[in-house]
Amino acid sequence: MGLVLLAGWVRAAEESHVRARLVADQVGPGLSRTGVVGVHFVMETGWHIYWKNPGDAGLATAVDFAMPDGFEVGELRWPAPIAFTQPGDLVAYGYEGSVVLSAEVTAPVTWSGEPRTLTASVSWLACKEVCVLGSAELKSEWPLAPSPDVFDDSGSRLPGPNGPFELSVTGGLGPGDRRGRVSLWLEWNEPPGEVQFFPGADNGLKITDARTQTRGRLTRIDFSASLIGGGEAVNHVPSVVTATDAGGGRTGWLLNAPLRAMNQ
Amino acid sequence: MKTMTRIAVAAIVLAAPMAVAGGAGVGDRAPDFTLSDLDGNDVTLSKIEGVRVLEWVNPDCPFVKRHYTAGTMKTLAAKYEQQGVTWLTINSTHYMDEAANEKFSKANGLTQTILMDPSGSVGHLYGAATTPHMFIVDEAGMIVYVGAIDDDPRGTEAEPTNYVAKALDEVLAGKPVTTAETKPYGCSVKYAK
Repeated sequence: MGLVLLAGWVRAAEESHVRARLVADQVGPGLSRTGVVGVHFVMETGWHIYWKNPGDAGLATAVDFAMPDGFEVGELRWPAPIAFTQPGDLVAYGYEGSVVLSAEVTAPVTWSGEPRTLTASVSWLACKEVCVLGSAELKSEWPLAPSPDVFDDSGSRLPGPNGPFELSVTGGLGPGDRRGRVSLWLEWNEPPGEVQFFPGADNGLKITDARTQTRGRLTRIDFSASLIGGGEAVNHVPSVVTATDAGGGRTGWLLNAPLRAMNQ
Repeated sequence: MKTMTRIAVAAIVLAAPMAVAGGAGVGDRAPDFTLSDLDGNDVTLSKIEGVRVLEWVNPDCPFVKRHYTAGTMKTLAAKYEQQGVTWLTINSTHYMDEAANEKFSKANGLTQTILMDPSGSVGHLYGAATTPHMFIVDEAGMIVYVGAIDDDPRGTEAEPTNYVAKALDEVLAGKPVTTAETKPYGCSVKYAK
């Protein structure tokens, strides 16, 4: 199913409804040792692929970058997703239109600028009314010519580290609890507009039935959390919160959501 | 400031969350239901003795196709039937009629019971979210496993752990299920709007 193509769009199969190509950003001139590599996905109208937590159904998009020895590729960076609610109240998290999943690249000090092979193994589930699995092997040479425009696209912006709000928690899992309902309260510096919450993925945790409501400067987020692994206690779920203003501008922040009230 | 915050907090009282997405969980009594099989017989969960497996299916879903091509469900259903386990494959896909289900059954040479739930009512009763989504009901009618068929959503593992087989082995040996809940993977169940 996979195809290899040098520096260009790859469509895994005609019916996969998704194209993917390698892109780069923040690649400095000359012997700059750092940069950002990404996979730019473009979906056909109506089709979506999935965030790191696909939600109630679906499958996380997978990107595995490979570079020669000495080059370091950081963790995959995920832009804030959007939510898709399907019949039956099933909620999925993902991307439509286009998105870039990226990682930071650091070249070794011994690198003298000669082109090096960069590959990415990519797989995804694309869904509209039906779902289609796709995969591709992308190959190019580093450094790639930067294409900052695709990184600047609103759907590809990365969530920021510190949101303009104060966080508190009520409810949540008590000591020894396997499941519980958590309420997060965000007190914003300014009325935030429409707020959405995207709980992250964790193998040992299931988050369901997330609800968000905002009045004035206060947002209340409720969700059910169940520990489903047999392993260590999970105390936080790495999540994303977004605010969309009246003009449609959307900003996202990372939110390491606690699962337990802070005074426990 | 503190007082103001409290007042604001108290002012946001969400409507009680609806239990739609919750469905039936481990430790719950399995909700009873009656659905029609491909021969037109009514099949009622509580009238079946022994351990029962519920599998949500959609023949159009690539995850389901992969498992049926590999014979995962068919093989397990046949193996555990010999130990008194009844395997019920439930199709809550809104657009699939009896003919579509028969075609699926014949194409895969299935022997397990296929139940039609195009209204999605039984799917909602259990909170089935994905295809596949697996539930195991023990002899006493309690749910003892909910989740994925195995730990290999991408179908790339050489030796995936089949959670359902592992749980069935434990249940049949009279042991508690060690991995009783996992995150299901697959396509969303295509429910009627």
